[in-house]
Amino acid sequence: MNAIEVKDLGIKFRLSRFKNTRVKDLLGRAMSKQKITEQREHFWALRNLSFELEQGEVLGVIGSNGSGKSTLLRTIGGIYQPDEGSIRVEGSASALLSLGTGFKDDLTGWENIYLNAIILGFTQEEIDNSIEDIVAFTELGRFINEPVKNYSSGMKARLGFGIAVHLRREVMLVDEILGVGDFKFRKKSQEKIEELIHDDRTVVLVSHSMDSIESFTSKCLWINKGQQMMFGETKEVIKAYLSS
Amino acid sequence: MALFGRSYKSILKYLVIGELKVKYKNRLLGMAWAVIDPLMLMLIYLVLVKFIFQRGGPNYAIELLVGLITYRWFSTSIMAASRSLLSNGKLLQTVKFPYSVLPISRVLINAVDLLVGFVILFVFVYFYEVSPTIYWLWIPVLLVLQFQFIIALCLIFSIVGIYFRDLLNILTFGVRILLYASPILYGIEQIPAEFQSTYLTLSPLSSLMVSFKNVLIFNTGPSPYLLIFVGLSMVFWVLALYLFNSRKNISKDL
Repeated sequence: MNAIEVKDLGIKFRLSRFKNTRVKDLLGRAMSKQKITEQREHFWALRNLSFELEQGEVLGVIGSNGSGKSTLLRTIGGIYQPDEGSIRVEGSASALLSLGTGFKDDLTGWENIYLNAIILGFTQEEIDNSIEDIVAFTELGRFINEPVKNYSSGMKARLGFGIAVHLRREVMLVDEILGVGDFKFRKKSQEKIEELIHDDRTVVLVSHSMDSIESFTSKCLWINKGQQMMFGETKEVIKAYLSS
Repeated sequence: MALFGRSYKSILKYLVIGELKVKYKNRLLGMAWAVIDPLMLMLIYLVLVKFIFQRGGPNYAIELLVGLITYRWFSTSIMAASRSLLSNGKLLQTVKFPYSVLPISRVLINAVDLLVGFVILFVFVYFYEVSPTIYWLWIPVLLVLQFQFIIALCLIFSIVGIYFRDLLNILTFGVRILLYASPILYGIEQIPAEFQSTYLTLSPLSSLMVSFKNVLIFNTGPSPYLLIFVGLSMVFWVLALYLFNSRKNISKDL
């Protein structure tokens, strides 16, 4: 069964219409009788993407900065709706996009675990069941009852990572988080990710590190400027990517 | 917009509790501010109107208080809600969740101040020896009407605020003007009789304010112009639902 089916997917953004427009410009344009709607230019962040991923497969997404990798993750996560084509995700996807988003600085780590996980769509019982594991994993000790504003950036990242890997969805979206915290923690998180990957869970991993893509993923998607360059076995795609 | 789904409710609950903790935990006087705030406001206007301008009836303090606390619920919720989506842009681009919880949570957070305000109000009512009447039963009804009115406006402004960033500046003046354009600091009887119906029709919060004062102090039912208020909220609801259903891709515009 396919966990993710993407067909001719296109995501477009409207280039800011009013963001840098001032009333003066609007008036000027009205005077010159130009139509304001001309401003509505579109930019395709992704276009003509088609691929399928089976249940339990791990997909690596590669491409240079601004090629649309994060946009793809957000689309799989249901944050963006396709403007063209279709996308179907079996079960629900949870994102590990930027860790620690949505933390409230004045709340404690413990309180933030609940808030964050509830927003991610987990129920209170699910969180109750995992909270001990999350806290133990983060190694925050008594800091868990301190407000998050007193945390170092590494501690915040650990908390976010802990929530993300312990509360799981059918499809996991991972955006370059392999480099969280110090060496010891990085090793631990690497192990956790490997565990996820061997866990018959469908994972989409975005990374610039060819090493992690090569060691973790079976399929690979290479996108450039929103266009699909290649999709297939990881080894072949990486070879083509590196020689381009 | 799955308004009453299970997860919707729990997100709302945690957002509200979280915000309330933040709001009151970090201040030396904590919850006391919910008491001090409306009292100070009331005292300022009381001194100004009663002692400097020599105006206001015998129960002026109560009239002021009921107007100020309900108006404050309106103004603080609107202001907070209109930036609620914009300021959570990062979150909205990371997690898929029903984003209408953000503006709605602002209304509930500010309702705590309202409840505290009502406790103070009834202390004053007791000392001013205003006796309870059957008309008091209207108070919860009026509050519900106000609640849905505020929610509809908050939903609208939270979306509009994304596309039209001047909104906050405009609203700052807007809510202030509304304070003076509503019968809060003065009574409806101070408007010349021939203008009263025009005033009640055009000033959106006026019928609500008049009704609060009527049922609490003047032993009468709510103002018939309350129907206009109800009609207006229906219009706002249609607009709010339209905006929320047509803007599915809001996270792209943040």
